[in-house]
Amino acid sequence: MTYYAFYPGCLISARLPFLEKSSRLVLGELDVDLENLDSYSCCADPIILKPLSFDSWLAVAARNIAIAEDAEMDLLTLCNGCFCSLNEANHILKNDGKKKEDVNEVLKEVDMEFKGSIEVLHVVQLMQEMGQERILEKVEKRPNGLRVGAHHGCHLIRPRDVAQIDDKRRPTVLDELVSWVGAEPVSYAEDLLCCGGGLMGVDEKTGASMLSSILDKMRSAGATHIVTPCPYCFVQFDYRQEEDPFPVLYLMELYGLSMGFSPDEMGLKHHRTKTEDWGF
Amino acid sequence: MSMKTTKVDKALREELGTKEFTSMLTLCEQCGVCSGICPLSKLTDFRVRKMILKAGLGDNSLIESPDLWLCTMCYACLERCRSGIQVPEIISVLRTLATEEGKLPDSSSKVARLFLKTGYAFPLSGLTAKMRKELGLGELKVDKKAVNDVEKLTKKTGLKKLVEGS
Ligand code: SF4
Ligand code: SF4
Repeated sequence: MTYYAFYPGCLISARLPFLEKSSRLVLGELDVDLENLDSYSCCADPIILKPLSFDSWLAVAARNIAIAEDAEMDLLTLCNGCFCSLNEANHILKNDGKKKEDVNEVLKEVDMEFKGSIEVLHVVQLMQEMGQERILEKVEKRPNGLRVGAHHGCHLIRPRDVAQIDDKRRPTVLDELVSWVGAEPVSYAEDLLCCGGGLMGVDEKTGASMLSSILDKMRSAGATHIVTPCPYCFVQFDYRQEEDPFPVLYLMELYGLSMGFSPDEMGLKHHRTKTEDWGF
Repeated sequence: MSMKTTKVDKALREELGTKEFTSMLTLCEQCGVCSGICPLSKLTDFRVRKMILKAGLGDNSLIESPDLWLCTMCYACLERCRSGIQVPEIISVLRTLATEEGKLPDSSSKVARLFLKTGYAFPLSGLTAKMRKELGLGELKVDKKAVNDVEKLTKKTGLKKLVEGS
């Protein structure tokens, strides 16, 4: 058994609980034990909140990390946004003694302390660590002609030196994870660009154009489905495609289908983009 | 030649530190690699290279422009800039300044207020509660301790006042 402090993040908890469900099923199958800890808050998010107040962002992130530290477990997240914030904050505070001192001064307000004793992991990293062999032991089904437009999402891979997920100039970690279970990643231009999700509040038209540009590239590359490990990208792809939409799978949903879980038990009916064909 | 100090100039100096600010001014080659990779360039009039030029000149018009809020913090430019210019950080300083002047867009203000009130950046809806139950997941509640702690921390570090006023 491997234990992790489970940090699903507020987008998944509050809006996309079916992604939490598939993740729990898959991780359970892989003998990962998820500890549910109390009183986390939003990470704080890297797109809207972080640019408003760096100091507040750092203090809130440090508090969330400290909750997992007190439980003496590494923190596992399902979300690119949470990963970006918590991992970067962890990185900053472990390497900058002055910032750590300052943040701990602030954390005294809530009787907490950042120690620097744990790691922050995205579920993608956990899969990388486990390796293909261990995952294949649990795989029961191979997909049938599933050609995937794999979209990493910005905050999984950048900034590269902080994320430390894939140090290639053109990261391919998601393509690898997708191909492990027998799906075929297609190579498309704009695979590393922003999906436009972060723009939907401020400028919907531009956000939608970013999305459709990526969809065009996936289409010309012959994709049949989209796979992403990011719930923000998931919302953008699943809620906002217009004509002839691709079915969208969160990475843990792809793995769940491979492991033989049914669309019903994973709650795939809650996707906005409806399909009968999940590629299996 | 002595340059008049503007509020943009002052904020950047204070936040980024005089040294980094000077190197930002002198190290940006205006090569345009950032604009080349920025996904906004082909869809809007926003050019990040120009923004950095204006930031270096302390141009106050930066905080008036709605363009300031277009960047999605995708970090593509940060990764490519050979001179190490911290573009997202510069944009963040400008956003803080613009927020102090009451220019926080409604959509962002809503998220920030919800976060301060509930600890979540997304609203807990009845629909989600039903879905969670059906999927056999635990009930989701506003966690009082989280909200209290967030209030204390953001009071001390600035976000609360910035968003809600004093
Ligand atoms: S910020 Fe960097 S990439 Fe952009 S113009 Fe200046 S030097 Fe070039
Ligand atoms: S971080 Fe902002 S300015 Fe830089 S490339 Fe991304 S959207 Fe453009």
